[in-house]
Amino acid sequence: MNASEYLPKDEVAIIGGGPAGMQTALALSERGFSVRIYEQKEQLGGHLKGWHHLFPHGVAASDLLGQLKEQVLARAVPLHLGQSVDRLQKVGAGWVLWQGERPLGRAGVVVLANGFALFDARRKEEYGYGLYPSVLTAADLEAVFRKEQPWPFGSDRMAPQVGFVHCVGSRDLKCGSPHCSKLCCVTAVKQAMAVKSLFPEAQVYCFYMDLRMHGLEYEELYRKAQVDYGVRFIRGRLSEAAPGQGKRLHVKAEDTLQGRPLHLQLDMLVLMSGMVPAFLLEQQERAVFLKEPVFGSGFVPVQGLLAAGSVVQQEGLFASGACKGPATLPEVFADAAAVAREVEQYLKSLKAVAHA
Amino acid sequence: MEKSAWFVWPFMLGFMFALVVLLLRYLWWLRSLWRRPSSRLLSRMFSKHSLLAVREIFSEGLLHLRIYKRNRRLGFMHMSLALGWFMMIVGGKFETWFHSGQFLHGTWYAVFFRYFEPQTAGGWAGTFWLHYMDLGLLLVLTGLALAIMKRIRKRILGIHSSTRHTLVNRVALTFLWMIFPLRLVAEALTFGQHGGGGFLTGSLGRCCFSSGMLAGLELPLWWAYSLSLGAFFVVLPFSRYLHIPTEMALIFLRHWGLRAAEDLQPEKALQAFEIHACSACGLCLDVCPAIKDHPFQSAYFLRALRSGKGWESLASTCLSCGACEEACPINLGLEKLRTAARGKIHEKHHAVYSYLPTVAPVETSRVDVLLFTGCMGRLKPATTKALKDLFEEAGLTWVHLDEQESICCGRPLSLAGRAGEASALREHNRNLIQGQQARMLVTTCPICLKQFRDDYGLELPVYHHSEMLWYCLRAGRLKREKGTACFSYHDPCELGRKSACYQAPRELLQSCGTLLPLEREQADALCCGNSLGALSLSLSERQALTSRTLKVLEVSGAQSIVTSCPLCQHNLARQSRLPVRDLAEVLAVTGLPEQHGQRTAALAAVQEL
Repeated sequence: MNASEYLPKDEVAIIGGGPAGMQTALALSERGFSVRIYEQKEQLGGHLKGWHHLFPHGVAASDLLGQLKEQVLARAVPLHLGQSVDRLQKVGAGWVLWQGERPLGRAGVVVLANGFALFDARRKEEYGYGLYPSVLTAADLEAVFRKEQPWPFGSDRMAPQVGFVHCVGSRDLKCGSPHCSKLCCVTAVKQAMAVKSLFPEAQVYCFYMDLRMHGLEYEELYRKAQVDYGVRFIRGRLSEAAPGQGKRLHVKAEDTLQGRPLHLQLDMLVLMSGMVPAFLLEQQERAVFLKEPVFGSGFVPVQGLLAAGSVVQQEGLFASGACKGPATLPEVFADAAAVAREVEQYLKSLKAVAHA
Repeated sequence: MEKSAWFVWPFMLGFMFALVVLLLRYLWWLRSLWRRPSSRLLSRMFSKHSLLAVREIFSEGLLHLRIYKRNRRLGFMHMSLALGWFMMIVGGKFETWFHSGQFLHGTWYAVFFRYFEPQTAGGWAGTFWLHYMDLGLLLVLTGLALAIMKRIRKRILGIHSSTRHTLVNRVALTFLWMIFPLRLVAEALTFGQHGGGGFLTGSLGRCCFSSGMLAGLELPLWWAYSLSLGAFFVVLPFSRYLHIPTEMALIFLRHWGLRAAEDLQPEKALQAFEIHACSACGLCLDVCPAIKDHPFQSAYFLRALRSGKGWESLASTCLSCGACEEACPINLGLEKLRTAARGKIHEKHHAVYSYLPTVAPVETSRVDVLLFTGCMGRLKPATTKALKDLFEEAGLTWVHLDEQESICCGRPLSLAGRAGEASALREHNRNLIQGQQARMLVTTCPICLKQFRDDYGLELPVYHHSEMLWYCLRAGRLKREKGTACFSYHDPCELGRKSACYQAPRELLQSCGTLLPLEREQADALCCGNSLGALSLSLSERQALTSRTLKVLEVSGAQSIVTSCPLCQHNLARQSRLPVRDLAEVLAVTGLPEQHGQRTAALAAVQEL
């Protein structure tokens, strides 16, 4: 068997149908390659499906997702929905994709675009997620904004007290997540402003270690949240959440700038769960396994940080988007274009070899 | 003395030197006793306690039974070295007495008896002593062979680690190893030249050393034997071999009622004897759950205390799981010693706690249980909630002493060696507890449990929640049906090794599911990787410990890991693939089938609150 057998058909298989997968598929399709998307869920969209609106301008997430899907459909990219690839087998220069004992397809190149998972907030039991109904994750709050989930406090509460906890399962060595998830800071700012828009009388607190507003217009958004929306930013970690008066939570924290302990009664506590690897890439000589992550396992390792996405030790395997580490949507889209270019170069070099 | 017998002098000088140094050191260690002798000690000295001490010296100093129980091959090695040597010392005395009719001789006479009296054919009794002494020698040589094997391949002796020794100890070891082979050859040569001898030395002499050409070697060999003995005795008081006499002295002092001091005094009283009685046998290395190349194990810690260098870091990196104390064949009070060392480290550090708000007492009421969940309980609200559900089910009333405000039990401070501050905290808590009218104090944290039990002197009984739930189960106040769940149980060091509570949690789990056997459990259980005593062990090293422990706990078939210490749970849960739950959580969700609906309704109702 040689590489040329794979090249005419199914040149590129993309694992994951979120923003990274779709955008990479589009970029490659525009360059004239045949592309397929394998998505484990029954729908395209990934985490973007769960968002209500996006920072920094408040664009509706469904609009962006709609546009992406439309383009994918327009380009007639074949979709394999509900198929979860767990093993890649190297055959010749190409790959066979497996789900358990079932072969799903073949490809000359595979692009991993299967994103990230959210840190399981129950692991920080002291914050009471899963124990007290008024403790939510940022993803839950988006579901509340989308009206898929009720507010955790009664409709009679016009001035709810709301707290956001930054860095839950990010920058936390003890949890095995040393990295910064980098978009939770601005997400909390966005969500705090949204809560204030819906409940102008609300008191909103953000408990942070330090705020990292690295993207375009993020810093401006942070300032706006303070000046225009009156969101209170408190530098200090939460030590615990316990049942308080009525349905409220009794929250203890320390304001490290003022050097004093804080006791608050909150109606809602939102945990900014960080981004963690969705799978563990186990690389063998002629096979790659996508396994359950274990404690401390990292994101997909790529060749040097200046190159786009070829996976360490594997020819013809690329990675795109947030499976390589936390990334915002603009970063994911830029990365998709860069990965597409790298894939193109690789395929051209293969064809040149096959020709010779 | 003939000129040819001058070879005894190296031995004699070394022996006298060791004797003088030992005497001076012991007198120095016991200096406080001379000044103020305790009447208790004096009365015990002339009582059955001394006989008990002799018995212990025989079983542990000579036979090494505790080591033998743990590891037969290693025990045999220690036994053959000690017992063989002892046999020869006693036999030598009797032999010279028998031969000369005089009881007292120069020490050298028995040691080099074969040189002076090569042909001791004195009828059946003389023959007996010849063979007896050879037997002793053979025993020592067997032990020696095993000791050499242990240095080359420790697995043969059934151990994974052996102590890495310092230079002075290696020098002492070399001389010690030379003594008995030299004695064998010297005696065999003498018998080869002059005839006679026992089954070992005599036979060896006849078959290998009877040639007249070897006659000139006889004296040099006795010189070499004497020199190696003398050199060994010179280094003995400065090497780990000081443990040989010190262990015996320690056993006597303990039986006479002497207790180790709370503060660090490595050159004083019982503590000095404990520190110097360690033979560095290495049993504490093999049971230590910590990373093997981090040498903070007790053998190294005691060595550092002996040399006075570097003990600070060793005292504060250890997680105080107590496994070494459990394994120590001479029952050294290692935990206490470590705490004392930590106290010494923090001596100069004066913390001020006056800024802390005072805790208002909880309203008094007559209840069954006074619940204390401690600082770790605040990080594990699910356990507290589950336990309160179980109290409801068992029909018990309770007051949660630290529901609103955290109050520390004092143990972290006492583990860090800050006895004064810990005692102030305890005093405060004692008042809070005595202000309540409860039948018992129940804590969810075994770390608090130990503090309440050992150091509070409370009038009401103190239980860990696993013990209390077990009583409820036995009394029929809680009813459980065996389900299909499979658990592996992690023994917390503070509940297991330090409070000897192994059965209650096991029986509770067996009442509602299947408990899987583990490779290391109960007294041999590994450490979760965290401890309130861990003052400076790095996070990555602690995480390595945790993952090793999890490997033992993640046995095939286990659906969840259960433990009964909030600190263990907290630590294991962060790294585990399987869910890690407290015993109370497991019990709270595994009610009787018909009760299950009610339970969920009750849980939902609690969530509503």
